Amino acid sequence: MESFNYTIKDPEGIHARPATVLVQACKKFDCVINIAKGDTKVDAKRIFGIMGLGAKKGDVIVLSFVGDDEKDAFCKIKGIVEENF
Amino acid sequence: MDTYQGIRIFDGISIGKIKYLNFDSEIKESFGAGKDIETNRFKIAQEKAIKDTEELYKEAKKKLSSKNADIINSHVEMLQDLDFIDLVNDSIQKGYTAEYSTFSAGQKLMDMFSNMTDSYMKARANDVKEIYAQIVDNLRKTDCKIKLTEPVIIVTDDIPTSALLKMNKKFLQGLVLLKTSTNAHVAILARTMEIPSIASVEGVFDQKNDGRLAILDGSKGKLIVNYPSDVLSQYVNLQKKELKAKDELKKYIGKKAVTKDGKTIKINANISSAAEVDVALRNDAEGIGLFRSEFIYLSASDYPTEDDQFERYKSVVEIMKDRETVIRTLDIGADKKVDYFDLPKENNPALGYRSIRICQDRTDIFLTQLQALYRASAYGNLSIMIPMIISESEIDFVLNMCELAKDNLLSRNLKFNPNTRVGIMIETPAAVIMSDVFAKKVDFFSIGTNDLSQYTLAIDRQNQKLNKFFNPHHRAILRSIISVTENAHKAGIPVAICGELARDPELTGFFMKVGVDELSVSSPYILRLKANIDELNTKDIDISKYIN
Repeated sequence: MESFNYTIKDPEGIHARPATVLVQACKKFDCVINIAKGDTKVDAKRIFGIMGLGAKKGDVIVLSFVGDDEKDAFCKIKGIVEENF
Repeated sequence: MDTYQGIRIFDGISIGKIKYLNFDSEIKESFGAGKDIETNRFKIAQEKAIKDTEELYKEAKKKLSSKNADIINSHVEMLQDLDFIDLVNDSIQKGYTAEYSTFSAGQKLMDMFSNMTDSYMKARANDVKEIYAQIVDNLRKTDCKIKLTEPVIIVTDDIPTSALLKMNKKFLQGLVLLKTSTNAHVAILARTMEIPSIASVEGVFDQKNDGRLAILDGSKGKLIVNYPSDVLSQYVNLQKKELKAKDELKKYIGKKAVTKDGKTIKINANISSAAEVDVALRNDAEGIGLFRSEFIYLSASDYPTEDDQFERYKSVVEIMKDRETVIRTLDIGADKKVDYFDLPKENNPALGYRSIRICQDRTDIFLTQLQALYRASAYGNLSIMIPMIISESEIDFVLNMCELAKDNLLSRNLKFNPNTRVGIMIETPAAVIMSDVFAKKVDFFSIGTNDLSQYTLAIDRQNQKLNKFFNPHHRAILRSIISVTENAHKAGIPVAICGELARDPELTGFFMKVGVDELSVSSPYILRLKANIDELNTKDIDISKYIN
């Protein structure tokens, strides 16, 4: 398993556009990718779940990767999160 | 007593329970046609919504700011969201329709967003609504089979023609199209199906009337609910009288339409499906003046094959035997849309990509149809009619395609009638003006007065606001008919009228005096026309009164 923590910097939080970018990127990988905020953990390949987190600026999210291509996914998705969130 | 006033589509009185169909907003909780069927319907509707939204995104990237285009991209993602799909599937597994399941899943997700504190997130409920509405919309268009289990009067804002075609005619007693124009295609269909019906109803229909007994008076354009018993008995009597009058028209069956001064005109039927041939014959049609082949396309869910079309055309010409059957080639586009053709939305569809224009691009579809038609020509008296012609080059294209179809059949050793007549519809001002030239190239003309009026008067027949500006007897139309008939006769070809105007009793004398060879009307009007002609004397008719 790979994982990383990230503090959201986008003033609007995880809104529709970054959520879409994330989902579309995650779908390219086979591994299970979860995104958690506090006790709530959702599938990062499901847009409504991600938006349902209601993550705002300053909130900490944890992304975790489990599966064969977890290393690739970790590198790629980390870049995308840092750029868009 | 509550009376809703509309405009007549098809005369007749019917008394039955109201079934209100809402094709616009909330969907009722209802059980579907089976889990597999509903799951499959959802998939097709969802896939189409995804495809359409992806197209929209491509367009939006060119025209909109990236921020606005990105919203559409997120819709593509929402349409495929597994939480959403799981919710839909759960509901379908419980036995509900795909429509209701999509709607209820959408509602749950909307609630999730509405309950969030962030105002931006709250507003996302609208995105959810947009995506599920799109799927529901597709579901209704692709396969909205409405099951009727008892005699009903359908009341609805508007209804897709495909849905009307798929209804059980036995239970369909009446049709009220609250917001549809009387010239819309669905109204024409109601007429051919002989359903008492009205359109363009004033005021707002109270949905509480759903399920209540009602009286529909087609000729007066009225829908009456919550009526006292004396009104009901009055209408029961009227209904009896009507049936009797219909009975009396039967004496014209088997008689030629002849005026007092011995003039005659051929009276044909317009039909939209092979099933209607029986109605045409019952009403003593001398031939089929217009078989709208597009209904074969409209009622299918994929391109009909050559064999499929051949069987249907053959079944019609075989019943008609030596009576002529004029089959119009594919006339879709404008108000007649077919999903699988995947036609782009247009700002001005009536002036857009339709009928012969589509056939010139998609020659494979056209050739398939022509081959099916030629094959059927071996089994009866078949003629081919091409709609929407505006130029000689289009006629040349058609004739070349006909030759190609014949060559293909020859090489496949299939029989056909090589002398099958090919004619064109005169339904554009361009065709009227060029009719002297066109007449030398084709075997017959048929004037489609609906489109000809729409294009000549620049009045959209779908727009009920324009009804008051629409004069069906406009002299421009009547003068066009005279000029087209003269040009046809100069070239030695016959002229038919197959639009709604053909059944107008005020014009029958005019048409006969002008020398129109055939009138083609919805079957229920054939005997009325004959009764009308029986009373006429063309010597009393003064053409100048109509055109000056």
